[in-house]
Amino acid sequence: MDNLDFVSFMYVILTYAAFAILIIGVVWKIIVYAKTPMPVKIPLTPAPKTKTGAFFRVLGEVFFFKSLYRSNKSTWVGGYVFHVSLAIVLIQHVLRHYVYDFYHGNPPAWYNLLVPIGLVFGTLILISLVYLFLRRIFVERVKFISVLSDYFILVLLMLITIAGLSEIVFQSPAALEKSVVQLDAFFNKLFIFQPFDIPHNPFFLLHYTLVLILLAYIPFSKIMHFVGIFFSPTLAMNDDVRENRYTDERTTRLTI
Amino acid sequence: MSKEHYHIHKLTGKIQTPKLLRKGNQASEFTFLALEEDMETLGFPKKLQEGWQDKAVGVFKELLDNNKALKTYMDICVRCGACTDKCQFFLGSGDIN
Repeated sequence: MDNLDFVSFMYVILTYAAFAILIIGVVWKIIVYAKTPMPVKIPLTPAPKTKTGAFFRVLGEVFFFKSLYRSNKSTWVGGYVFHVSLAIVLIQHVLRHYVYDFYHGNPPAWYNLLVPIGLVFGTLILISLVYLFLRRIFVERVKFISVLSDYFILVLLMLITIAGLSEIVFQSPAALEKSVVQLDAFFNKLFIFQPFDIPHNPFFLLHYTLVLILLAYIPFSKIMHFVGIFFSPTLAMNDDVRENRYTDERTTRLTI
Repeated sequence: MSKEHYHIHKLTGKIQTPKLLRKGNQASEFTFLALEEDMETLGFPKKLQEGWQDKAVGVFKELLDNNKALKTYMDICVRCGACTDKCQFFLGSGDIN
């Protein structure tokens, strides 16, 4: 904890706080979902009869958004493009850090591909978010069911993407590389609880602050759908009630 | 209730999303109260009682704690709207609530 300037000190505290809220919140919600009883088997028919079938059904949901594809293809385009591009950008973020560390500062030639990948897929994220936002405003039936948090989360994600893209677009590659190298040290030291200075690049700090807000907001929002989908009774249950009777003793405590 | 207040949703053979009218076709606008003698015979209170909102919320909380589907879906529903044009109740009645 030596010679941190004020900005770095604030950001170290905010980083630890945001990740703590995220991890504790998500674990708490997982426990709550696991403990809630389910009195009746309600897999949506046609339902798989075996647990393996139910497992592959959930995988189909996670990797291809299969039920959304079959029900509303235009929504599927927006949602799927957003999620896939976001996954690729997140992998690119993590990869850039670990590849740099792995090669001890002398990365191979394909390292230079990572920034253009971030640019292309970041733009795709922004386009799909704008598409989903316009859909939420102009399609009457979706507007009727939307609440403030739906618009808020779309706007927050758009701002994060714009801030991240602005890092690439409005800076020279050398300046970007410099802040990335300083960032490597910042995160490495955070994991071992020895705080280090954060790069003072304003584009980066804006992007990072918005990301921390998003992380702290996740356990309280509908983004928990990445956890809930595994507990969803309409997808994860198999249809074998004729062979094996299904009961859940915990539901007897219902008083209504 | 005079007929001109109602908007009766016509069912043709084709399935099409009804227009989202906010007045004139919602069940909550035209509540028919039960007869007081019937309520008395059944042992229910005759009028809406004090604190009914808290009781209703309490019942919903108990449902939430005892049904994994309800709890999960209330949390994770992303309001994508893919269900809205398929809901049998909406398609059949035109009532957006």
